[in-house]
Amino acid sequence: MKRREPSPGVRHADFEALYQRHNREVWASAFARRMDTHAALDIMQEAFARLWQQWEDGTEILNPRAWLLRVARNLAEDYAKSAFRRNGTHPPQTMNGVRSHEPMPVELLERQETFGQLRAVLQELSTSDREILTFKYALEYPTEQIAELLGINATAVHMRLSRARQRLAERLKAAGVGHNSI
Amino acid sequence: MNRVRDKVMSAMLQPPIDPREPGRSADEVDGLLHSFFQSELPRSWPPFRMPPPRLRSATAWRPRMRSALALAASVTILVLSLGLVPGKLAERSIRIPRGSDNSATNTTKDAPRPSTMLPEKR
Repeated sequence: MKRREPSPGVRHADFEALYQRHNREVWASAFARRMDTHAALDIMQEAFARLWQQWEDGTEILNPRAWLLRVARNLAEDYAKSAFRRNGTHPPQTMNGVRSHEPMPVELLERQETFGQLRAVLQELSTSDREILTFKYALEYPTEQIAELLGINATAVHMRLSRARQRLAERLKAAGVGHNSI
Repeated sequence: MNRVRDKVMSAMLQPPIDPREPGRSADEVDGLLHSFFQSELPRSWPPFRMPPPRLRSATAWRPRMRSALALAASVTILVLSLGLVPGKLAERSIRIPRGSDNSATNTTKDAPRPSTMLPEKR
């Protein structure tokens, strides 16, 4: 880290641009660890707030994206520990938010149930599996972008995605998410 | 109504996903994951909430000032103690009764042992 010359006007605009560029990735990284949209948003805000404070102190972060992702990861892990201490464990259904107004109530309930089961199975997967799935399906990032973000090559992304999906399918089956349960 | 259920069922019935030959099962799992993650994605991204500015003038200097004062006080006490201790020792050595003509500075080596200074019992 180096000392950065203060330039408040430009710095604020720069920061807004940085926020627009990376907020989704930071959210996704936190979501992959917490599996909770709102907690991930809080973590995202906190990570950016900490970066802003670094800027305010005149510290230049050479790679803000990597810095933000690392802070979000640490915050998500700390959040998990503190949330566990505060609340204990919750059933997966607790986190099922209802947001869409389109489906009919019965369909909505069924959708909630399915997503609750899927969430529970996703939570059994490794963080790296959840992370790559989040980048792929939430952010809809192309393979090259995921590869760049995770620091691996495109082939490795394909392999990891395929294996993550396979593990997910196996666990869904093992959890009884199939003919009889749904 | 049973669209989601059908999706999961179909996904389960299909053989394991082969990345080289993406078939229907991959599509089904894709669809399920896509709809789940999209439902979790925030509808609108909140703007960045600027943290309140730190009160540097009120808070930042205080701990530094306190520690500096504590350090200065410690050094002063140390210096004063170093100055006082030899003086005290010299005073003490003067008070101790000695032989005939020993001076205050010539205490440790030539002074008789305390036991020899005690008056003899009769």
